[in-house]
Amino acid sequence: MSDRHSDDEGLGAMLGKLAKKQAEDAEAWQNEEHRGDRSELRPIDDLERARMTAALFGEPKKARSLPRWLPIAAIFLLIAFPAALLLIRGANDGGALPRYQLTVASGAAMVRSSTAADDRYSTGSRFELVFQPDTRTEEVPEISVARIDPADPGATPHPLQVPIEKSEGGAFRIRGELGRDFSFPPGPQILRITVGRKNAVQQFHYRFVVSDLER
Amino acid sequence: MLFGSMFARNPAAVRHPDVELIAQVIAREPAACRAFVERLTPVIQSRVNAALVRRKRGSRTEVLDLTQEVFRALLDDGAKILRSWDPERGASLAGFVAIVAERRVASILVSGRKSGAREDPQDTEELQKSDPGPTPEMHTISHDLLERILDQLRARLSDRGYEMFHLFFVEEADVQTICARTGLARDAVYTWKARILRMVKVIAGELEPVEALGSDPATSPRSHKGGRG
Repeated sequence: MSDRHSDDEGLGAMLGKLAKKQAEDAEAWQNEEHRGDRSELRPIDDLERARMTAALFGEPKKARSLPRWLPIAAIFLLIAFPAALLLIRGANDGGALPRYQLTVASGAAMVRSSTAADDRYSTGSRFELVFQPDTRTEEVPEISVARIDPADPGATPHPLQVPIEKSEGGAFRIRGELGRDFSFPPGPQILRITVGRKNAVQQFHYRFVVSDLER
Repeated sequence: MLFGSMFARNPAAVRHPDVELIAQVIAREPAACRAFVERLTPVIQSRVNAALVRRKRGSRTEVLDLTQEVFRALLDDGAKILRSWDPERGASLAGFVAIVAERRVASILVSGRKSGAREDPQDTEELQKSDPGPTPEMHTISHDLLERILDQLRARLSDRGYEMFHLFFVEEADVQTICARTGLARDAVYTWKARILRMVKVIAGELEPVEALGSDPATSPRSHKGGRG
């Protein structure tokens, strides 16, 4: 019995030593010499960190004591200028759903074109849109996603099944990899994301371009 | 309960700067959120990198995804895990986050489970099971098997369980120190130790036959039970 006990302890001790060694090795991976040619393990840079911060926390909150009518006025202004890249149409009728904000948090595989305003993706790109409510809500929002044909924006949008992760407080994100979780034809795209119920919906239109070039 | 919260204790006292930082992160103060991510990214990424290297995999996307997932786990549920960190228990914030990262990354890579998905740690249930059998003879355990046992252990233990494993077997702290650092009674500490060792045996028992299958029969030091091969 005591032999078995000491065997158990011995195995625990071996695992402890291994965990300690792994922790030391982990520290070494921050060292460029140790990384060798594995550039994918390079330290996360400022831009990557900024995207991660945005994905985790959303955009920084603005002044907290804005008049209640201001968001509604802003929404009307946005409706009046449909050329805006992201059109946010809030038809919140005073229901419990807070106002949502969209952050594009796609990772390093996404390429921002210097000549076009739209985000560009290709097969294998990480695609991540984060939706953050301006106040926490216990309500789980209804979410639907549809693709609008950019050549015929008046046509009926085509509903899409996409990976949606919801978290506590009402935030959610659409995330996946192009070619694996999403499939779009090459060229300009418009995604319409609808949040909320029938009488209290907010819609977001996200424009981007899919390149047909394999990475 | 198990994890004492610094926030409720002695509000009049000057708070540890990292406790203050966490409070600001929970309040979503933009500068604090940026500082928090900047400060802890290297710690988390180092654990992510090491775990990916051990598995001979790792694209840039995986590095970014896993690092973000660990942050998300820390912040989920009103930053429950972060709030459980207590500087008076001895570990620095970075040390505490490193332990969480080790376990979370292993859990994601082993099970594919991510934050937000329901965690299903088994460490309270394993004790109820029947005796898992003899402990494998230590001289027969390969380094690879040991690594896989550790991976599984991380994936199956709760955050609390892995913290206890760390205290017992990595830091090799004595029971009195562990009682002081966790606020647990001696009996509870011994129960944790027995629970962890039992889980190790269960995992070793599950992995050992697989190990023997994958090794050269001529040099395999142990026979394996069961009808696989």
